[in-house]
Amino acid sequence: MDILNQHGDIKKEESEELERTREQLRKLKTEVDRKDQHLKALKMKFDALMTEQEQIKAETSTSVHQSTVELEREAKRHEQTRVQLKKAEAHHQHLIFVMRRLFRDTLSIIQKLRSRLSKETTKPQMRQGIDPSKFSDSIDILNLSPEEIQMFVDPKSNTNQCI
Amino acid sequence: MYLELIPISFDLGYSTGTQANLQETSYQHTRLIEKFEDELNNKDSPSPSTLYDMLNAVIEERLAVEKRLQQ
Repeated sequence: MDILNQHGDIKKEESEELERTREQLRKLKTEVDRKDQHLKALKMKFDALMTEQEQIKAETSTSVHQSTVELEREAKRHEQTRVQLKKAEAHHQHLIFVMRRLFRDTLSIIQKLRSRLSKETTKPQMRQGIDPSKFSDSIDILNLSPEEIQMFVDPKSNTNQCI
Repeated sequence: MYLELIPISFDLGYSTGTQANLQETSYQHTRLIEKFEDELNNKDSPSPSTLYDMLNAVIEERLAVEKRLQQ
């Protein structure tokens, strides 16, 4: 009887132990399930972040490439403008040179023309200044023509005439 | 016209002191060249109308003197 009672106690203890273990196992399973869910959520979040990072990386790469291309294009345009500016400056200098030359040359020509004009204006006046009738006696005595008298009276004028 | 602002004694009716008049003209030409250079070297930028007036004035003057010579 004792043995049966003892056996019954042992079975009961084992049963209780088994029940406790089952309970623990159930709790552990719940805990594992919960952690698994959490891990899955974290993994999803991680995947989303990775995707976003890839997108940003791709966009940045495209943007950098576009910026580089744009920068190169701008540099080329800048160089072309610089060359054009250099040409325009040279053109401007040439125009200034031509204007300066034209102005100075014209003034120089005016000066020469005026000099010529003054000489040509003076000659007739000098010639007109001699009245052959005043030298009529000398013309008669020396038997000279008015032109020859002119030579004696105003040899300078006569020289100019020859020239 | 520019020559009206800075008159040059281009009156060709002179009969005496011809040499003095030519010297005077030469002096005024030098002054005109200086003015023209000042305009060309203008710090801002040369004024096209002023340059045109000056050039036109001397060209007109040259034509007038040539015409007088032909008369």
